[in-house]
Amino acid sequence: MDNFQKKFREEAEDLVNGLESLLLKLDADKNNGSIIEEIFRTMHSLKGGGAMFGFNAVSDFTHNLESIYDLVRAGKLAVSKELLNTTLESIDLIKILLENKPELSQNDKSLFTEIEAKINSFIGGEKSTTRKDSNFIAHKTEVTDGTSYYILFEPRPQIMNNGTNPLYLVDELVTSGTAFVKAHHLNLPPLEKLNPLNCYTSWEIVIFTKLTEEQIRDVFLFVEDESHILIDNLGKTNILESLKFSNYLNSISESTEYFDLQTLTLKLNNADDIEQLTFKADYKLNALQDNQITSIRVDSEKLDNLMNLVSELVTTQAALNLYTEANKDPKLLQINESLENITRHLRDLAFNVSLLPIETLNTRFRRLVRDLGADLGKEIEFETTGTETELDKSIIQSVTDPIMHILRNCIDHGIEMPAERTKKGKPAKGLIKLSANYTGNTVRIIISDDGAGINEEAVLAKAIANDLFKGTSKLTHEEIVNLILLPGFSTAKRVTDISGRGVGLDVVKRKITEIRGDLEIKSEPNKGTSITIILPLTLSIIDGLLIDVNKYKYIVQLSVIDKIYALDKNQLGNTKNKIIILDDEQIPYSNLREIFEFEPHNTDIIQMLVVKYENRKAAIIVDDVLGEHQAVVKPLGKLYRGQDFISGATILGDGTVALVLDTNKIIKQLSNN
Amino acid sequence: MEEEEEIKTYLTFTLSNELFAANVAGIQNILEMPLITPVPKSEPYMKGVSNLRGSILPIIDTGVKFNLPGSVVTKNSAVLVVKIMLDNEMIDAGLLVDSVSEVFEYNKEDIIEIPSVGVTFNTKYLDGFVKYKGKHYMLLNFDKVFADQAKQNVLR
Repeated sequence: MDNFQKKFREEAEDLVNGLESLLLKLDADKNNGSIIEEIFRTMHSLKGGGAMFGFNAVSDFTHNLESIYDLVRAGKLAVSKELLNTTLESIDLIKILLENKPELSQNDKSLFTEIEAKINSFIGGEKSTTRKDSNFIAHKTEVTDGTSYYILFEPRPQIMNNGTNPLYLVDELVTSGTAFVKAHHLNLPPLEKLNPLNCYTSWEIVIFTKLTEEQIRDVFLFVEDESHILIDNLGKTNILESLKFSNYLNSISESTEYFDLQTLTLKLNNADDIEQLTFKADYKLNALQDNQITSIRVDSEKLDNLMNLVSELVTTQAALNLYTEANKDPKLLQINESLENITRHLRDLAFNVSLLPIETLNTRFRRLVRDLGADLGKEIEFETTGTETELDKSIIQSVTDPIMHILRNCIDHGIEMPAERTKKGKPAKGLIKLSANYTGNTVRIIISDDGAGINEEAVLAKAIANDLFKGTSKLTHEEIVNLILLPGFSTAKRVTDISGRGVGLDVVKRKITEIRGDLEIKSEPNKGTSITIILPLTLSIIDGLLIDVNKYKYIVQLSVIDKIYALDKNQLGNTKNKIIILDDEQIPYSNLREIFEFEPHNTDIIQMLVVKYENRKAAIIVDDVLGEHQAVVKPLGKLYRGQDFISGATILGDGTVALVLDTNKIIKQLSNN
Repeated sequence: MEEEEEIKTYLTFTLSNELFAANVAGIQNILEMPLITPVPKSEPYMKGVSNLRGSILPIIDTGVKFNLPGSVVTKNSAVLVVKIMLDNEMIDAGLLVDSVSEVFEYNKEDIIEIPSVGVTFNTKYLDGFVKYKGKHYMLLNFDKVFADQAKQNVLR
């Protein structure tokens, strides 16, 4: 059962997340019936699942929520800000309830009571009861392509002893389509013999639903042994749409008699309007695609294990390559070649599997902007573009907190109060944009607001107070703004600490640097601030070029290399400016030996790599180019924090360590000089 | 933490002719001189990185770190792999020492206070002294060494 509970919790988390994003959609489009319908349905699944797997608190609580949206659906309650706020709060509470702790904390308890009271105030006098349609047919879900069934559900009296609520099961079925339900109480004993813990009711259901017979059986999966269940397929037609048939159903709804299948079939045959319906159903059916499994859910730990194994495979492959080269056995050469090919494909595939779109975080961001904005009395629009851009899931994980922090900064300090904005001639509603795109081997995430911009004087004062800047030389606006990224600028220790005046961005920068990323800030007074996060596409394995400098090996990511030249040393040209003309292009260059402060060495032939980043190019001179190498990049660790020009290390086939060059930093330095 | 109290075994090693000892509880592994790849433009006391069973091990040139002149790499040199606390995170690091000598057992109460004069070595990294077979050993505390490291990184 624990296993089932875990499964349910995973599923419920999905449902809750889905619910959250649906509610945010509803916030923007308050009268959208199909969103309301979907919200209702999601709540219903949550309720049903909760009841089945012993999350009774979740189930009962969601039941009340569902009642609200039932009213909304029926047009009896309008979608308001307060309603959405309460629902969102409720969802947070459901998240807590899903942890299924034996005892709620005092805090959670009071929250629970508070929210419950709010919900009840919405439901008002109309305490939730199952809605009774005049004709006893409940349309819960619009189903176009389905099957009609007759279902008899006769639970044993003791069914409620293990916590099952048979009503939920009936309800779950009914919500999946259009249904006619008849409850029978024939077995109800006289009062003196009645055991209040027993169930004496049985149900008959005629339903038109998308569910297969198998899925209907699954609804009753856990009560199968304790009840008598009969399911009969009545064909592909929605028989409940037949007027004659539903009239018949209505006529017997008040009687205590059971249907009997024979009568039912007879009545069906008499209802001659069914034929037309059959035609309609076939027509609709053709328009629908068949429902195949296109994605599965995998434990993220399994993915991590897969990635680790692939990393090890790549390293082992490098060792095998070395051995093969030394051995010169033609057969081994051939086998190794095809193995290497497979390794490469497997690596790419494993990577692809671990990619997640930035979209996955949208709901969290939207929620933050909405809630914090409301708390501060600011109206803020949140726009996202390019969030389908994918990143390695471990990068997504490490970048979430920094982005949340930046957003918090934008909301708290960027966007001004509506009155102030109007005074400045800006629209009262603030705007925060989050956009993402690929640039070469990196992904950029840009978060911008149209707020006040960064306060130059405040930053300068703080930088001087914290001994980061002497205050003697004159700085440009951009230089001042970037002071806030200097380590030690803020006193906040963790990224999650509440933002101050641009405070904590140095911590954000450090976090981003830890995953080989970079951070850039632009700010204009009263126009707003824009923060760009630059991230590597993947964290762990890259296609690299192995080079040699001063007898040690280094790796350059292959995708940044534009061209490799072997030049005569006389071709270096203007050695003073350190600009070389290659294919009619002026390119700044430097020798890695110089950058790394090694002894210079003189050769007649010079190996030069032209590397690019965005639209900038730079050339670096290396001692020797050794060949391609798939590198599993590992961090240098905290002891090497703040290392310029080196972004990680990898283990070569012979067991020695090669360093991975951060060419983007080298290009930046060269093109700045 | 009680278990640590019970371990009274110390490993002795030398660094530019000074005798040191460290509790074995803090030492993960002792490596013969591994191949070290230097990292350009790093702190002088950072010797480089090395391959420790597939992961990258940063190697600290302990002699430089402690300001002890005359420490050179010989065939006796060794690396002590230790776990250290840095910014609330446990990381592995290798400490390069001139030689590793032997292991002995000692009781905590036998640790001698650090004398206030006559010690050339920076005493803030030490827990005290122990006397064994007529020789004095300085008891090194790794955490103290690297608590210092964390601060340096912040200030840089």
